[in-house]
Amino acid sequence: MSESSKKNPFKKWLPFWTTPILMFLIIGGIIVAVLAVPFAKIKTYSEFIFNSKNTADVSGLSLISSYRSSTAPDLVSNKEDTLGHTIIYPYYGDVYAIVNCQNAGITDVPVFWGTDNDILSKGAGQYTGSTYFGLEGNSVVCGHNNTVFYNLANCKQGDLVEVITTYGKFTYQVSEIVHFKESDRTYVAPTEDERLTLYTCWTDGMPGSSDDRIGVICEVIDKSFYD
Amino acid sequence: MNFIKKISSVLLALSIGGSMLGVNAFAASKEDVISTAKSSGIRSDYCVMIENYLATNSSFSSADYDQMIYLMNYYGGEYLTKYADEKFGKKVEDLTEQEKEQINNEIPKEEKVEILKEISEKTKDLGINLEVDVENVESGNITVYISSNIEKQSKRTVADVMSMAKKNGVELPEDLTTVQVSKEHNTTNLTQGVGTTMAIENAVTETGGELEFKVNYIAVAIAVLVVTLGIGGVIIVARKNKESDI
Repeated sequence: MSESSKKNPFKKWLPFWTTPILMFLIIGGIIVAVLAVPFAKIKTYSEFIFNSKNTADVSGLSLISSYRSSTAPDLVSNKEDTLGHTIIYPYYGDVYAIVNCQNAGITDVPVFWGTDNDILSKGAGQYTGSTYFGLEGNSVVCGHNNTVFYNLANCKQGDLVEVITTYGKFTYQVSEIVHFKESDRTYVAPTEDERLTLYTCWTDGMPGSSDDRIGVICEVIDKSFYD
Repeated sequence: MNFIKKISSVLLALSIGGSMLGVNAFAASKEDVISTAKSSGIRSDYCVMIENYLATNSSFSSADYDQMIYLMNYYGGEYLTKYADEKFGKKVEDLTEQEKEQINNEIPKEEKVEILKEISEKTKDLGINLEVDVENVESGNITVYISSNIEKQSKRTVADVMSMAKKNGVELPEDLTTVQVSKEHNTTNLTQGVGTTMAIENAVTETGGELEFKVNYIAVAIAVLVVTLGIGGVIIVARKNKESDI
């Protein structure tokens, strides 16, 4: 042991402990720097890592939606209210349609009425603030980007989208692909024309979720009600 | 217009429960309710939601409709009118969707909470439990929990859709018959028992997939990496120091 260390033990222990701590900080800093760029894309993970409380604002409460009880009858529309055709209205949580877009690789996706987490874990969901298929207005359907709408980004202008419901079959053609933010309601708002809007999270190939959405807007080209 | 949505939802709930408030009945109809919703500044997609709801619930009396209109005018119209005039010098019915959104963002959260609390008191007697999370207000969010005793169970399945389609001569893709009548899709059971929390929906929903497992793996991986490097650093440097000491 050196003379100076013997005389002053503080000199011995100071570098002994500070060096590894400094190394730890440097390595930690490098990791933080490396992660800084893709941080936006992994912020979802960070909430779990740091156990941050999820205080997401609730911007919609579907109290007005009711689930089908065990004895509930079918809900059939008055023809005069629905363009002279019979529509079998879904209860909240019902599967009431199947969506296909063969060109994009979207096959036989069940569409539920409603978009809560339970529903989206089972298939696509239609926003209850949008129009029933076959009626004038915007029918808005969403699904997870890692399951039913994994291939939504493959949709191209001109692709055909087929919707088979409990009361008719409707064919749409993709007219526009859009990107928008979660807070932007432009594409899910009611419209005067009859259209179908499909959307999912847009993560540009990264896993997980983001504030960005990719939307596929389709115009109706054929309607065939069962009655 | 989050709070308007909440309010409009509760208004309908109040009506369902047959709440009796002093209103001047004028034998309103479903159409009157929809037109009131539109003219009282409620966001357009919520108006569609109300329209959809009323289309599938025909058990309301005109007194119920009166009630809905009264409450919609009171909570929606009164508050929005004040802000529409102050902010844009407009009548409520002339507001654009963006302006409605802007007003909603600018109404103090404390005021929203007060309104929601007031509604919460009224809904208790109707078996609807509406709880406002006041603590979250300070962090910039208002969370409202609503629960009821409605059974949350869905009966219609993909198989039903297929069967109706087939019955009506719709040609189904070949693989549909084999793929979709799977156990998962065919037994759509969303039951969560008594006291079910009602569905929470956003106009633009979170569609990022279920990440819990992946997130945990990544979190653990990063944590392990950092700790390993840290501990490794400590050991290596400690040894080095020890060696140089010797």
